[in-house]
This record gives sequence, structure tokens and C-alpha cells, in this order.
Amino acid sequence: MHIKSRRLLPTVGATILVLVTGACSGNDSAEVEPVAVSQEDLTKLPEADTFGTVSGAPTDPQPAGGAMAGKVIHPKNELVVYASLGGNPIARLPTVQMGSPTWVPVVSEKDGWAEVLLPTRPNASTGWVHLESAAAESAQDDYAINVDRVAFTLELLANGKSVGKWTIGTGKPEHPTPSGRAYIIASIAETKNTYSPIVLPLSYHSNSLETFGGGPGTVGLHTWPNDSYVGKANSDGCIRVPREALDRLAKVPLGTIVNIT
Amino acid sequence: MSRKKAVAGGVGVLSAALVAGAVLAPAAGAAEAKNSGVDSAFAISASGLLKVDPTPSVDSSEGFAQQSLAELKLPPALLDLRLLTAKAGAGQARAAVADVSVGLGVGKPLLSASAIEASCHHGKVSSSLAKAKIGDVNLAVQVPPNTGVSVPGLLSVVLNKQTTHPDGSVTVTAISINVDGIQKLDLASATCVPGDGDDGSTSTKPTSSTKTSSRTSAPASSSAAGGGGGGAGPAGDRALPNGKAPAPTPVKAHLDVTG
Repeated sequence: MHIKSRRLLPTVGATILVLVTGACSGNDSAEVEPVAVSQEDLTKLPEADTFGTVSGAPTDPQPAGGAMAGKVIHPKNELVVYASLGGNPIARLPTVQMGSPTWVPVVSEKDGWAEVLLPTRPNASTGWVHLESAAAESAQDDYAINVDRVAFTLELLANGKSVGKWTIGTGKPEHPTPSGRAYIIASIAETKNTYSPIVLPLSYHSNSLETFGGGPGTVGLHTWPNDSYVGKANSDGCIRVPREALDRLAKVPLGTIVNIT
Repeated sequence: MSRKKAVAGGVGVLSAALVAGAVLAPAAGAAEAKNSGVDSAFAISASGLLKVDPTPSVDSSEGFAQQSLAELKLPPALLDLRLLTAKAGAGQARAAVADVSVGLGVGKPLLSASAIEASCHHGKVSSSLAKAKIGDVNLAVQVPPNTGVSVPGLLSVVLNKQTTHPDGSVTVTAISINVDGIQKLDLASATCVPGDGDDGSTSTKPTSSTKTSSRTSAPASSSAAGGGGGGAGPAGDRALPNGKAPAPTPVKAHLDVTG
């Protein structure tokens, strides 16, 4: 629009641009714009995926916030993640996680910014994205999952109501399933490992295993070929669930909170 | 004249490296073997006197794949790289490496960079460098495809090297170094199949029969619940019409979770 008016009336166009700029800065005085990030800075930023490690990230304001339903967002283009409103860039959030579309849970919002949980190390990392300038899809996720490591149970909640509860297996004492507010990052139809047809990797990582197999120690939700795990702490950190539970959990949206206590 | 001298010096250094046994993974022939019709990526590859098979190297023949390596170091001052990563699948590929120092035994680093990356995504191909330097030449963050850098002495260097293969796939390599045909070194390389859609739903690629059959085994039935039909992105990337988050579509991939 500016270009068009410029073409017709160059002098007037320039005046309008100045006025518009002045008006914007007036309105924006209460809002915080993201700092400029050069291509070189972008190149240096780590990618926020399960293989990534982010430094300088804030931590989940409520790691014991419970199994909460809420808003999830999917970046249509790679998003820059910041340490705070108007703070330094700390990561890039790609559009895809292990082949699945990226969906991250929003844990707080302020002035057009959203704080989202990140799928990287260290556990409970969060970051701020500027929603106003982002091309992001947002949706309401009605589901949440509670994992109780003491009782060996996993409970699926829809709108806060229990819709399923199963006895599960967790990590052995030397490789415990980490506690905190994790979320489901992807839905994998596993092509190499045969213990579970579908694996739901979580945003959290093992605190005792830096790597596992060829992976970065990602904690997963999946089933197991026999029931040796039921009610036991004998996995390497993953949460093993009955096939029936897996079938239900595989239909739960990506970004759903898995609250591990 | 000086050029010849430099080359000779380079050979000496590289030979010394060979004698010292600083050769990584001397498996034969794997370096150039590329599955056609799949997305692929690697962070580093070297052939010639110093041989480094593509590391880490992934392709999407069995679904989305990703690998990383915290550090790759070959003494003495041959190579020192951190955070090598490669991922491929779902119609995209990316390779990156950080804190790069390539010495090839010469006193000061021949190549240094704080980050190097290459990526492709639905026909969009790009590469970029951060604080990269070859010899005394500072390299621009982004350059047009196939930009040659003239380095006095022994090297031919191509930045943002882009090659289209007979099957239509495109490879982008952020930095490709050639020492007069005796040593090749590629850093951050990504290959994408043209017009590749969501990896989980692609069925027309000329791949092995196992791949085709296992692809169909992916529960396609749930894609109806995935929302976002006609888009270019993967299934399930949009809210449902009622604003609810979509049920996911399982995507063929491999990830070693903590069992």
C-alpha cells in the first residue's frame, strides 16, 4: 500500500509513512518488541528439538503445575525463541519434530508473547515467542496426562475429567523417569525398534543417560511386548504402558502435557 | 609458483596424517552412496588423503531420521568440530556444525567458523555461515548459489554449492573445499527430493519394496482426524474447525528413546 501511494505521489507518500511510524511507536510504548536477530545470529542459535540443548533458557514457572489442558501452538515457519520479553534470542523452534508437526504448550502469555515449553535439554526449559509477529497456528488442547511414579499409574484427562487409567512401568532406580511437566513432542511409527508400533517421545530427557542408543536420552511413552514392566520400575527411563493405553494416547494431540510426579 | 609449493606442503601434511592413522571409519565406498528419492543430510565428509565418511549421516529411507554428535576431533589440529547434527525426512533436510576448526595440520586454522548450516525444505534451499573464515578471507553469512572463493594457494572453495541430481533432488553444501583433486572436504550438506510432501504420506518415490510396504502400514486412517488437509505442511498441523488441537498422524521415523 505504501509503495502504491509512493508511486502516485512520492512526497505525500513519504509524509504518510512518517505519520504512520509515529502513530505506531506511540501505541507500542506499552509493548515489548522482539530484538532484531541477524541471519548470522540465527545461524548460531541451537535448534529447539529433542537433540538440542539450549542455554540461558528460563525454566518452567510451574514444573509442578499439574496436568493442565490449554493452548498449544504450531509454528508455520521457524520461530525465534527468546529468554524473556524483549530479551536475547536463545533458540530456533523448527516446524517439525521427528517428522511430526511441532506443537508446543503455552504456559503463560503476556502482551502478545507466549511462554512455551521446549523439547530440548535441560528439562523444564521454556522460552518466549512473539506471537504477534509469528506465523503460528494455535489450538485448544483439552487433554492432559498424569503419571504417578509411586503408584505406577497413568491417567488420561479430558477437560479435567479422568477418561482412562492404567498401570504402567517406569525407570529403574539408576535411570529414573524424570519428574516434571513434560509434553508429547511427536507421534512416531517406529521403523527400527520393534517393542512398540508407536512411540510418543516426550520433551524430557533422562538425567542419568546423556545418550541412549543413537538418541539423546529422550524419555518416551510406549508399550512393551510382554507384561514384565507392569507396576515395576525396570525401564531405562521410559514410561511403558499397556497396548490399550497406547492406542488411546496415540490419539491425544501433540503438545499435550504429561505431568510426571 | 607459490601455488605449487603450497600444494606440495599440503600433501606432506595430509600424508603425515595418514601415517599417523588419523583416518576415521575407513569403510569403503560409503561416502558417495546415496539413496535416490530420499531426503538426506550429513555434517562433514572428507575424501582423499584424509577420509571421513559422512558424519553424522542420515536419510529418510526409513522415515524421519536425525543424528547428532557432540564432538569430532582429529589430531593433530586436523579437524575440530562440535555439535554436528543431521536430520532428514518430512520433505526437508538440515545439517549443521558449530565451533569449526579445520587445520589439516597447517599451523593456523585453514577454516574456522562458529556455525555452518545447510538446509532444504520443499524446494527452498539455503545455507549460511557465522563468523566463517578461510585463511585470511572472511566469508559472508549468505551468498548466492555456487559462489567461488579465491584463496591464494592451494584451495578451490565453493560456498552454498548447489547440485541438481538426475532424479531431480537438490543437494546444498554450505562449504565445499577441494585441494587440487587430492582432498575434498564438505561441511554441512542437505539433499531434498523435489516437491516432497509429508514423508508419512508420500507414496510415489522409487524406493525399495520394504519401504513401500512399510509406508502403507503407517496408520493412514487417523489422518482424517489430523486437520489441515490441503496444506503443504505435514498432516495435523492445523487446528480443527472448532479450534481444538488435532489428533496426530503417526509418522514413520526412528528415535531411540530410553526404552
